[in-house]
Amino acid sequence: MQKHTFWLPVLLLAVLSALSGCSETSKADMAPNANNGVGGSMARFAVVDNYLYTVSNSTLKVFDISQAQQPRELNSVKLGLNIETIFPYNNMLFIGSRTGMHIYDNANPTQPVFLSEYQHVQSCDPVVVQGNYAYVTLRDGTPCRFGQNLLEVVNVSNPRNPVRERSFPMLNPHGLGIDGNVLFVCEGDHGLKIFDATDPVNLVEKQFIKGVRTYDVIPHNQVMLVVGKDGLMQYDYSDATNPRLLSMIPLAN
Amino acid sequence: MKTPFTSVRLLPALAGLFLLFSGCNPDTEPGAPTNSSMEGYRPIYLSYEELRQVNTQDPRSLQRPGKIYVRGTYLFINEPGEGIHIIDNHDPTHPKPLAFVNIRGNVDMAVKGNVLYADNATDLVALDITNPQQVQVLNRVENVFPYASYPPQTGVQFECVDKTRGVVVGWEKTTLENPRCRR
Repeated sequence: MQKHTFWLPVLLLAVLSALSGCSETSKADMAPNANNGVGGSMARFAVVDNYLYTVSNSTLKVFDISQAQQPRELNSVKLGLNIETIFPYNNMLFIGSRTGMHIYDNANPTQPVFLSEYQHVQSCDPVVVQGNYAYVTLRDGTPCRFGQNLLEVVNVSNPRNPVRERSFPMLNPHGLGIDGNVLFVCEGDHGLKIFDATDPVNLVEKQFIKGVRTYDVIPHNQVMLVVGKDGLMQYDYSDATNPRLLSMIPLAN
Repeated sequence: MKTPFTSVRLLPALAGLFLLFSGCNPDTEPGAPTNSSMEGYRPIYLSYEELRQVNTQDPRSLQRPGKIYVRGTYLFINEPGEGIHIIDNHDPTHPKPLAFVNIRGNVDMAVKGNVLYADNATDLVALDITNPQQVQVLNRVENVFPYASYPPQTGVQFECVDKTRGVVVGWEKTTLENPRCRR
């Protein structure tokens, strides 16, 4: 009896910590701090701990927000032209431009250091990263008139030497998002594709939602937020092959 | 057979050359007496005073949604150039619009704790969103983002901007007398 009462809480604790450990890791991939939010792949602003990073056409700025109510500009880094997006991941900043993806080390958050630039043809291209892989979409259309429509899978295990491993033809890819092994790609006016990314170089299309125009996506706690020319849609993706529309905020008529 | 191939390859090169030589090139030649009226773009200004009036308004419908951002049970949707919709999303089957924060020139945002950072044209603003229906400006860092001094179109004439009149929030196509800028 005594033994029993002793082991029960221990067992409970072990189960609890195992469970919470799991959800902690997947959350850490999305946002470094639960107090902070999650942006889409088209973002030009990103918060990492006590720092706010912003990218304009050619400049990365670092603001100190350790005193949240009083942002202070700390540093300004020249990046090159046509910068479009920023995605922080594991002490690195992945910056999308119309000619490629720049990788900066921000282990010292106030002094981002250039590591490499992965180049491709001129296209508009947001990027998201998970594990050893960066997923980059390339699309044509104004202002990227000479672009191609591709999803590129780039091995970034050595961030000083990113290597493209695969590229998948797409229709007109825009924003993208990843949660665990599920990759979401907005296909502009064509809809949204969901891939199984268990093997990142062999993506498997699980679903193609058509009839909705999509620009960017945030997968967050099994709910996918999709924004586009039709408004804001939310889907439950706990079953990735069968996403369920939860709600839609339409546009004004 | 060969001609179309060559022209396709030439096109990007030509565009590149063009981009190289474009940009704001005010004609500074003294006394160049050109008196021509032509099609071009005129900047639409918003005064600095108006720009820096950030306030919370009643929720409004989405018009042209841009970036999105999630913080806890709140959802933020940018309306490019206008501001940010704040949505109560604790029940994703029934998202509830709470407010619209009027932030002119806004395209981006990020949140730390209860502070929302947003671009307000050339400025960065820090906003307290503890009560999303009464967002308060905590701070403003002026002139940290680029001033838009030329139209998005290329190969066009335009009226050179006068930064003292405010920020440029748009361009109208019109007939210009002797425009001095070209892109």
